[in-house]
Amino acid sequence: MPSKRSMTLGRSYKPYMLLFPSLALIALFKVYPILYSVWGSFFSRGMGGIARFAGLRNYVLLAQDPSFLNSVWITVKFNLITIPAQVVLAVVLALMLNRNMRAVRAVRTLVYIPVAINMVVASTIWNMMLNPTSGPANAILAKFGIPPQAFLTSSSQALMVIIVICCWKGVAYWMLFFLAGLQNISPSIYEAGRIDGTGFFSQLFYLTIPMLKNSLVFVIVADTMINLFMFAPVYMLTGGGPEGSTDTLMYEAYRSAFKYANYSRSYAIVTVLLLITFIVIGAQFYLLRDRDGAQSGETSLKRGAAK
Amino acid sequence: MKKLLVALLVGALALLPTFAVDTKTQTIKFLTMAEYHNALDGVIKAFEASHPGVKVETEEFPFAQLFDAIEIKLGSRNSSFDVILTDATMVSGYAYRGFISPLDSYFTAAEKAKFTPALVGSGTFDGKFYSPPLKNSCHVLWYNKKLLDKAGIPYPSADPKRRMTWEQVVEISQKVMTASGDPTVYGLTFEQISRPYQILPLINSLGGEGIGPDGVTVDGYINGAAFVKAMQWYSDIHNTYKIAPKGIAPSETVGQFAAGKIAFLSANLFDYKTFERTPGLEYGYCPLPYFKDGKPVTPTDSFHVSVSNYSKHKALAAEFVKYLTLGAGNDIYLDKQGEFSARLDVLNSYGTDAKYSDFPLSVFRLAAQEAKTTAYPRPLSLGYREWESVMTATMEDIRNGADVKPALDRAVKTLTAQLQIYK
Repeated sequence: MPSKRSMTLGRSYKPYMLLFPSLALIALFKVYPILYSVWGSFFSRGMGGIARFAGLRNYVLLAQDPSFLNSVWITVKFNLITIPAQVVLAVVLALMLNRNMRAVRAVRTLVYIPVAINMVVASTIWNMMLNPTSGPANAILAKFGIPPQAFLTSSSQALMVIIVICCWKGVAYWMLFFLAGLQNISPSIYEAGRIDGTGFFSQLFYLTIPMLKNSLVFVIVADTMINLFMFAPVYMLTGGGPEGSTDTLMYEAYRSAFKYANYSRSYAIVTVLLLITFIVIGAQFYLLRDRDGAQSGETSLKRGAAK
Repeated sequence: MKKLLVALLVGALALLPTFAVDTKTQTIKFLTMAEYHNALDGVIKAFEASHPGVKVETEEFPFAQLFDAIEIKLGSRNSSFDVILTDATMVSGYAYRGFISPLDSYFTAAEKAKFTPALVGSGTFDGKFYSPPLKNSCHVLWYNKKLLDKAGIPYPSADPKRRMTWEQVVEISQKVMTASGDPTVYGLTFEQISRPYQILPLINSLGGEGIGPDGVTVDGYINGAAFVKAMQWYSDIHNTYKIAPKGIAPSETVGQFAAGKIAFLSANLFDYKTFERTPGLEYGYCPLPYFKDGKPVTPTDSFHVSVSNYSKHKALAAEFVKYLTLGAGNDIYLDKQGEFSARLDVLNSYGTDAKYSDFPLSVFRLAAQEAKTTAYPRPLSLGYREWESVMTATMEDIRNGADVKPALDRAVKTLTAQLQIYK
């Protein structure tokens, strides 16, 4: 019969044994490249590809580089528009499709189709549709008397086009998390709200959205991470142009490594991007924390009723 | 049990010859371009036939991805590649970063003297010969006869002494577009739209340069008067005169010309192979135009072939490189791909061999003349990749309507920062 001590030991290391394969892969494919990039950003390569310690030189060069500074601004601008747009649209879609009807289920599937399309394929199709001279988008606009648009070849439109494509592709994915969140809300809470006299908007803002807080926190954080590292549409559609208007940090890091073979600069850009990610996500967790420690739904129900 | 042992023994004996051959076969791997597949396939078969026990494998990438692939593969010191297709402008950068190996011990002075001297220069870095040229290049102005006929315009002369100016090309293009009555027909485009290889001759024609003699200074060059003037013309043909199409990629231009949608196409010699295969296309060629206030300039240089510094079969790889650039392999390649030679003996034969008297091969005779008189190589710089990448984006922005001087000033700031590492 095993002793009490050996049973305790067995319990203590078994979960780690089960977690080990995943942790090992994460360490190998996620943590190691991150540490390698941070380490590499303090070196530069000279004649013969020999690495030499460069201290903060790569960061100093970045600070003097207008294309890097532009990339920081484009990344911030892209995220400031895309994340709220995706989250709001996903919530709206989830609210509209949170009905158990056959037609709604069919629409849900249709809405989800862009998620299933590979980003490279989707970008290629959008590129053909938005071709300024031969694309169908301008042909449709012409039917309504609207002059042809430059779309991806205009520095004032290209980023917005990429934002639209990212929303088209991503909204339905995030919608699923909100749908799951909505379906976890007990109908009795709405019933209680109705008895207390909540209208549509007070129900939405004081019941539904607070009850979706867990889904919201997850979607906002995950969406931020994905959008901060957005790459494929820029690579496929604009190559960072026109006039640097879509040159995100991720694309600049790619260009630096694989087009210029300047790996040190690329490591430094990626390290800056990581720092930005940590700061933004830290701020999001801080701002979205549960301040009063109470069940958000119950608190909101009280607030909604007080209205 | 006995039966099983016998079966295993028979199986092992059957596999024995395979293993025996494998131990004798030496394999080298060539990192190359997908567009050259057919031509190189012929070369490789001939090389393998003349070198028993040697196998040449290829890994191919399309032109647009080739340079990135080389940076990734050799940047990670990958030893599985032996031979690398190398653009002339990249030789110095690859040599500096230790990607490629010097070939002085494999190529004698007499062998090097068989190439066009300028291209030996392109293949040399820091006094060492790294990369022999696979071929040379030259551009001419191809024209569509039917579109010119419709506008009642005589065909331009193929004589370099009666070369057209770019100003005349604009004028004729406008007439052709009006006469065609088809809004999808354009007057002029460049095979490699917005790529410095093809756009630089416009600047060089006006006396401008892409980069200073130190290979890192760009201020005063890419925002200098000649550069600005040439790029303004490039902007005008797309945005003011609207004789050149926007929104089509370099990979589409030859097809557009072959489809009869472009009157003039500035393009490489080897495109004649595509035109010859296109039913109903009536075309001709004339020398590349120049600016009225400038001088005739044509693009030159092209791909070289190098041996990877990380190769484990350098001697065999060098032998293949020699076969491909100087030996029978080069003849096979030039013939199958319809390319312009970097070898002096072939270059001289363009003027004397009767097969180059008639159209369309007579275009090689013109190119040989251009190579001696108007060819202008691209700038040499360790940071050519950065320079080319920034300038391609800037030229594309200008094509799409960006203000010329501010766009070039922005490029100066970006490149000045990025080329600092080579100072």
